[in-house]
Amino acid sequence: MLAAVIILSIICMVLLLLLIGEKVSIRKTIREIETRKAGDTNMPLPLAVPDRDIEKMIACLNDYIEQYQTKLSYYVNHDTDFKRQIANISHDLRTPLTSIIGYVQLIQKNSTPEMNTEYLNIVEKKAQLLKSLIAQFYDLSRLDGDEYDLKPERLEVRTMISQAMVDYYNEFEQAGFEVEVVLPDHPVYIMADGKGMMRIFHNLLQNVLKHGKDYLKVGAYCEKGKVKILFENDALPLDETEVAHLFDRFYTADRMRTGQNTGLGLAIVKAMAEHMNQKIEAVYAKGRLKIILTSQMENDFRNDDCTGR
Amino acid sequence: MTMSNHVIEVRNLNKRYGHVQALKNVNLTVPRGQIYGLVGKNGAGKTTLMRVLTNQTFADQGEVALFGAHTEHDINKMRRRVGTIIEIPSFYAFMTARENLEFYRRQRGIAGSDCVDEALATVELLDAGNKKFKNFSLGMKQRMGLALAIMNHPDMLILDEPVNGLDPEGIVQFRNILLKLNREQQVTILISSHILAELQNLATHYTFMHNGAIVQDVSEKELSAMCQEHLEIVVDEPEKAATLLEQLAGCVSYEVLPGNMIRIYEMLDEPDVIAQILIENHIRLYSLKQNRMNLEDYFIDLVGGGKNA
Amino acid sequence: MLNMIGAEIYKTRKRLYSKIFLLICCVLALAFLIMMRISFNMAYSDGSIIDVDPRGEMFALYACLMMVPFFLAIITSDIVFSEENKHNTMKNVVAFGYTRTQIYFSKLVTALINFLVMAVIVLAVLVLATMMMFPCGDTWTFYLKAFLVSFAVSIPLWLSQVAVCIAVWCNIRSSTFGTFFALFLSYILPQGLNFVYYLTDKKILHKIANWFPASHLGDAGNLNLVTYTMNEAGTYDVSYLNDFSGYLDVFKWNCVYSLAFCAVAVIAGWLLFRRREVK
Repeated sequence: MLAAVIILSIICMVLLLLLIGEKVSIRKTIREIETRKAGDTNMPLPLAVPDRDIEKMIACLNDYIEQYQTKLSYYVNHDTDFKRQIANISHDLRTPLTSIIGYVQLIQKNSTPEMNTEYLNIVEKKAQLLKSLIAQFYDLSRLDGDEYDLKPERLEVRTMISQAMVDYYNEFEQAGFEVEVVLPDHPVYIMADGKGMMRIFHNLLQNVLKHGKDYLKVGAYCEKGKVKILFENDALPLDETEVAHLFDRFYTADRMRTGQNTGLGLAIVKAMAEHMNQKIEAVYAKGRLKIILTSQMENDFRNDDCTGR
Repeated sequence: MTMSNHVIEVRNLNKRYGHVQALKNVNLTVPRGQIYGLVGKNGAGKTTLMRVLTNQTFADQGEVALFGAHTEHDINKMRRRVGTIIEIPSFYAFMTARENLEFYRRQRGIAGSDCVDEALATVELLDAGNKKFKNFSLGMKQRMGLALAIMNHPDMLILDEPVNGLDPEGIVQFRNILLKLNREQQVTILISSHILAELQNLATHYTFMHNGAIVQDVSEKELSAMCQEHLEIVVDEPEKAATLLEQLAGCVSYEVLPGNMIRIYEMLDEPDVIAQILIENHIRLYSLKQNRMNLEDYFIDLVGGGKNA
Repeated sequence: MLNMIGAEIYKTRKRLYSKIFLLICCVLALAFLIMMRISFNMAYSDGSIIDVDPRGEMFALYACLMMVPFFLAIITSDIVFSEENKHNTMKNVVAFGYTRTQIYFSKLVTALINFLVMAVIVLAVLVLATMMMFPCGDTWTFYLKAFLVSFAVSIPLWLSQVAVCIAVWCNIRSSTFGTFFALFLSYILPQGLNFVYYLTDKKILHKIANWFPASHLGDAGNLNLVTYTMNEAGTYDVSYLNDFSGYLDVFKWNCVYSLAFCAVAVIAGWLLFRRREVK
């Protein structure tokens, strides 16, 4: 009898303690959440009592809080980025405009007709530059807002690359480049928007013209069911940070040379590629910069490796 | 809970060990988001200060405030937000790395066991997770210490000579992890070292300790300015040389040092002018060189001689 | 604090040493029983004593075994503590903000829990083995009851021993010195006092010695479970103890002594530990 009473009372006490433990846990958690709301700390919520269920709940809450914080910081960064973009845009537009105004003022000051013609040519060039700058900004913002109408269709890679190279052949030859094109010996298809792809190629080739020295290699190859299009050129030494930020807007290795150099071309390339479900990456090794565009292969047959590395 | 801008505030801290006064009226404030380097010779009091800050030992006099909390009870609550490595990290030899971290995870009330693997991955000990701690090399032990310190996503790190015993690659990795934490999560760091070169790439602020007292407190920018480039000349009559430079060259920013050396902080691109002035006035010029003082020299100067820190 | 206790229990589980130790205890206990069985067989084989219940002696012996958990207490405390001192892991705990008080009391509770678990396992093994090796037919309920009662009566003594050990270990770095000091405080000191009392007949020493739980370990064995009375036929009549109320008295006093000793040990240990510098 006595034994039964003792055992029952022990059980009761244990249950009571468990209950108290849960209540204490909950109260402490509430306090901790209030602290997080005040924005004071990055730490996850602590566990007051080693109870499995409460632990799971707190782990869930922590995950949620982390998600929230990530989103928050993403938006804050985006906001900062956006403000910076606007500042950069006005800076980039201001330079050619100032220049144009300067030249116009020179013309107004009654210079000779020959000088005027020369000045007017310069003004026209700068105005065209301004126009293309604005077009680029416009494109980027449309890509950002998902307003670009990209219609994917089945395209053959070799044809596209050849077309782009033909367009730029003269410019590269005039600039004294050694150009190598390595393509596979059978058709390779991907799903992409024709104009978008040409745009990407044009931007990349422009970039090489501007920053490369005298070597360009363009190629395509297949690897594990994916098609990789490669643009390789020799370039001035770049360090890791610069390579990592190559596709960022307004990041140029030498920002001082603005006017010609807005760094937007590569940003557009990246945005465009991502909209077409492609991956783009840059690798720098041994004096050569490689930009690799990866997309899904759309061939009738899938072979892992086609020649033409 | 009050939001203080200072993470650590130490006022008039005194501590005596037997006959030795280990801490003499130490005053220190560490604001949020900074990386404070604590520099001093062995026995200068750095470790003692850190031991007081981490509850390992008690000060004889003085006040410590952590995150704005002043009473011992509140400070202990705040200690959860601090990750520490003091001397060689200690763990249970008979348990594996993972079990050790799991033990501390349970003890500290951290919900969810993902954080163990996460911490191991950050310090690159994931493949050694099932190795018993007694088989760890010194470098691995240091990394384990860091894993434990960051497991709870602390708001502050207190590290006492944490890179002692790491190979150069390990030191770079360590530094990168700290920089990343500071940048991405605004983790404040108080790190002590006598390997000054390490702090040079890391700290935003330096505090120099000698014989238990703080001898100087200076930001990284100020220190850079002080360690700036200078011309170093060795002459036979430094007083006369100094006067001549002042009167004839208008040079006021200089310093006379033992060994008949003068450090000149201006006229850096006119060493010939200086040489000429001296020679014309019959001062013997034994050597003239351009120098940039580094942290080591600065420190040695500050604590008045002594070979190694 | 509950977190700390949970973590310590996790650590004990992961420690091979504790499992091996438990195994060794059980093995030793079984070995002891086997030895007793063999010696009993040998003692009674010549037929000199007949119809005598061997478990009478057996259970007297068990009173001596009361002392074994006493030493088990020392070992379980060691399990909770030894690594801390050897590897300086205490600094991780204090750096996190746990006060010395929290650490002290969670170590105490963990040691108590560890001890109870281990003691229950070892004693269960013992009881089962005894039931198997010394079969006693109808009277087994009686013996089981007596057994359990003697253990229950001695539990407070053992628990106070755990408290002493924790108090000692928290404050002394070296494990070996700690063991000796704990043994000294709990066992040697009262024996020594009693010894001097026998020599000098100073009653006060005996009174002091009485307050040490170790002096009462044998009390449970002093009550006669089984009495043999010689009857006219020249054989022995066996009578079993009916009234266990004698034990209640012993239990009451054991509790008093243990609680007092416990309180002193815990408070002394705690006060010393509060301002201890952690390596």
